[in-house]
Amino acid sequence: MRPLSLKWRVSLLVLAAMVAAIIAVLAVAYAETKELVVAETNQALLAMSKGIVSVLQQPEPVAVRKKQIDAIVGLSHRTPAPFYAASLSGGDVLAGGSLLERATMKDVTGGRAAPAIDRSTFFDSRRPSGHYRAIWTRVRTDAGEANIVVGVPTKGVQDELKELVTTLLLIGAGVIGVAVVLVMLLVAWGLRPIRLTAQRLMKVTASNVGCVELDGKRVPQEIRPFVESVSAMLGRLDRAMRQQKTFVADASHEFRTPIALAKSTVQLALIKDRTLPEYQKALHDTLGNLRRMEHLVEELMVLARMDESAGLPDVADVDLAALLSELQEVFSPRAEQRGCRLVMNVQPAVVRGNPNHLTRLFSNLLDNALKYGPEESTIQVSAVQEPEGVVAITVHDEGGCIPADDLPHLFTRFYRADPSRSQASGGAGLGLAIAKEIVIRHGGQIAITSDPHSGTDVCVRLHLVQ
Amino acid sequence: MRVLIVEDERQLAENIAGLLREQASFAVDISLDGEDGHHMALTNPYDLIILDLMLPKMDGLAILRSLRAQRVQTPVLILTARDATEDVVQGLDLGCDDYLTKPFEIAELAARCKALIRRSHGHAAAVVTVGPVTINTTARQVTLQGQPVILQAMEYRLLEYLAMRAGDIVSKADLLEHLYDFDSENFSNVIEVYISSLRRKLDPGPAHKLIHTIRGQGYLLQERRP
Repeated sequence: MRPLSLKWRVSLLVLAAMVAAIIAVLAVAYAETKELVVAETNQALLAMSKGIVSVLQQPEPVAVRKKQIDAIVGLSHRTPAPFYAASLSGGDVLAGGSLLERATMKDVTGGRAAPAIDRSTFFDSRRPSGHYRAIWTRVRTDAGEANIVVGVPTKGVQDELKELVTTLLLIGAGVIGVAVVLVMLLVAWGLRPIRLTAQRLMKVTASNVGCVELDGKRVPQEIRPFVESVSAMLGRLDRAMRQQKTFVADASHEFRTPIALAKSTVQLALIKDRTLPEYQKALHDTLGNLRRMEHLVEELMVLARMDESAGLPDVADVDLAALLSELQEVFSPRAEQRGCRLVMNVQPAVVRGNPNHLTRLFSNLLDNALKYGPEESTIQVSAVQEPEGVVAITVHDEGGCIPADDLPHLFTRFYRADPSRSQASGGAGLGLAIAKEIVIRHGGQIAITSDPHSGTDVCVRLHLVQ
Repeated sequence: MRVLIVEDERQLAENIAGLLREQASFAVDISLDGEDGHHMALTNPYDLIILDLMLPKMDGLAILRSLRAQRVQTPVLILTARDATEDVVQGLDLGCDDYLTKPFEIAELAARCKALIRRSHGHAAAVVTVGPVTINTTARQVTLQGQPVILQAMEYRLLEYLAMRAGDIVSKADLLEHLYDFDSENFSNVIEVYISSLRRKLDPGPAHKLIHTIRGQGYLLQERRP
């Protein structure tokens, strides 16, 4: 079942609350009115019985007195007819209304306990003609003790109460109806900013994701965290897409430059007949450009393969000391060419990992050190065991200071501290990105610190085999 | 014509320079970084500047902005690997005259360079005619009354520059600045040697001169019948 909409939920809640409130009001009003009506009736009955007492004592014929009493109880205009019974000092019972002429007191009082002298008791009485409210009064008069019972029908009162309940119910239903409509309108109005926000979100595309602004202030407070988090998410998406765009632009630059070089070299060589050394130079230059492209493709493939799977293939125990001394042999000729010394200070350390990846990692770091370190300087590689089973391998070169602004970006793909991306100042900017991927896959950490006096340190921390 | 190439890829800069020297007989200077290129563009009267955008020390667009702000009207051709529409639009808005993305066809680059220079001198067509002399700047062929004339590279360079400014008196200093790059050894009397050799090849007769020497001012290429 689909969950109810917010509009209906709020409306139903308000409806329930209002029904409860109206029922309570109704109950109280009914009780109060009933009490009031009974008190009024009692008052009237008391007055009637007083009147009857005074009529009883008059020296008039029975028929005349009866007529007077009939008038007092309103026999002619009440339906069903009231009843009364009156006797003076145990004399004849004077009865009228809906009672038989010859009723006795006992018939009328229904065997109730008599009230004290000069007191009255009220009671409800059910008779064939309907419900009555009655009073029994005992009064001491000059002519002896008088007993008067008067009853008036309660039908009118009940009708009145029924009418009251009907009216209250109708008003209540009206109020509830109006309230529900109002609540629905209010909820719809309150939800309008959400609808507008949704409409704006519908317009978000890859190209304008950074330009859509969601106004978090206008939506209801309860929804604000939601809108704000969506807004933040759009911001993150925008950054990611901009990064992607930069990546594509940088990659295309890195490919286009060697292609432009090779193409222009070959085209220039072909314009006219040239000498053998000129052809040789053109071929040599073109080969250099092809090598640059080959290197770039290889690095991109390494990254693509790593992006494909998060795991680490062909894991083995790798002796870092052996691996680094192999690399020392590989890099020594290049170091010598630049007049650099490659110094290793490696403690025995065995880590678990992919030997090819680890070789690539340290090759990249040594390559950078040779590329960016000055000529005739010393490159130091050290591996030191740290507490908690960690080995820290540091590659240190005497290369100048990397600006602090660039340090956090050095591991970004294609990032080059030199905005010209010139080939003269290095590779494509993938070496450190690859290094970082490898280190992450081995559960390690990599960090670069640079200082104009001492040089640049790249430190890799890996877990030792226990 | 003298061209400045501001491009940090040395090999590419040298290829373009070689192309323009061989195919257009231009004098070419190369600058490998932004600051140096900016300085050279401000201090020498180039006929064209070929500008890379991503440069060390100073961005290509910054150079362009600065040149235009200092009222340097030299045509600028931007040569870059950035091909996003906004990059092209930004370059054109800042006052570049043409835009070519890497990799490019060198023939197209040479043609665009020649066209930009021609147009900056007020010649839309590739063929310039002064009296009986016709110069085809595309093929670098010169004819006199329909007959081909063989010229040396330097002679052609001199004639083309004078023809572009036909009717104007061009000073010797002007010629030196526009016909030689930094690497060439320019001796001022060499100009006179080329002028006289051009006169020998082009002037129809002693009474009908094309190249005139205006004493103390310079040279003038114009058909002037006696």
